[in-house]
Amino acid sequence: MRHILVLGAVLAAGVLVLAGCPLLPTGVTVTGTVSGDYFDITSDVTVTITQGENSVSVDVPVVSGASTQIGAFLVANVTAGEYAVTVTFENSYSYTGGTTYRVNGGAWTGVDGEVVTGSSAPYTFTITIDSLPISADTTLDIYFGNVG
Amino acid sequence: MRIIPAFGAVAVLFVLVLSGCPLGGVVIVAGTLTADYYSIASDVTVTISQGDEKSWSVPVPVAGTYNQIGSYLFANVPSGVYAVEVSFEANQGFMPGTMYRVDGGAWLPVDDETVTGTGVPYTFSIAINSLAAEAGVTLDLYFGDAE
Repeated sequence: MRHILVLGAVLAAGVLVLAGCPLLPTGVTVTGTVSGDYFDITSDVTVTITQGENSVSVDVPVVSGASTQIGAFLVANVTAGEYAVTVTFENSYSYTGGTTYRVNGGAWTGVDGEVVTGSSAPYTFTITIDSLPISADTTLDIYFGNVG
Repeated sequence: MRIIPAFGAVAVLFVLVLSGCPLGGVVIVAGTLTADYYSIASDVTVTISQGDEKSWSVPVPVAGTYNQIGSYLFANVPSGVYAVEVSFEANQGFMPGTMYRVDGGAWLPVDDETVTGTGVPYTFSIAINSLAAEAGVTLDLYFGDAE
């Protein structure tokens, strides 16, 4: 009887994982914005947060005002922990504006890496933040700068 | 012997329900907000809710002056039917009639919209009672032209 119960528990956990269902459904939420001025972004902005082998990626659409491109995102049910963040997008400009970010509305800080690749438009921007602690609901705003 | 697999299947289903795991998995809800001559003076807060326990809100900044526009995305939320609430502050108290469309379909009037306040800024509250998000869904909102 004990073997059947153990097997049942293992099967249930396996099904939860296969169903894409978090084993701890009480995860936290990461909310934020991406924006840039005069940047001519030509794709969605892909925001990826990674913790070891676990990775969540969202394609954030941006809309254009007179000079500003901006988008908002929310990722639900994220397991708390320390994450690396990678942001990528395509752009018609080949130079960066000095990307900064802020956590929970705090001070704006320079990102750890930003690289532009490609020899002609569209260029690919890759921006990295090495360590983002997410222990509770967190906001992450990323501003690509003003290249106008 | 046949009873054991059947028992296992029932047990798995039971665990899924007890865990609060949506049987349909998780989905993305995304869309745009647009307004003409509205003087929106705050972020636009979009809230999606399933019952009293599952609710997520994203503050959406808007860009532009006469034509204000914003974009948002909810990722990794459980599939199912959501109630949607949208709120923001604006510098004018006239509501021309908010419309929404799902997956690029026909524009429909929202289920409720109210303006409160006696002076600037006025608070706008808009509700859509039922948004089916069994799979990924786009929800675009147009607050109208308040000129």
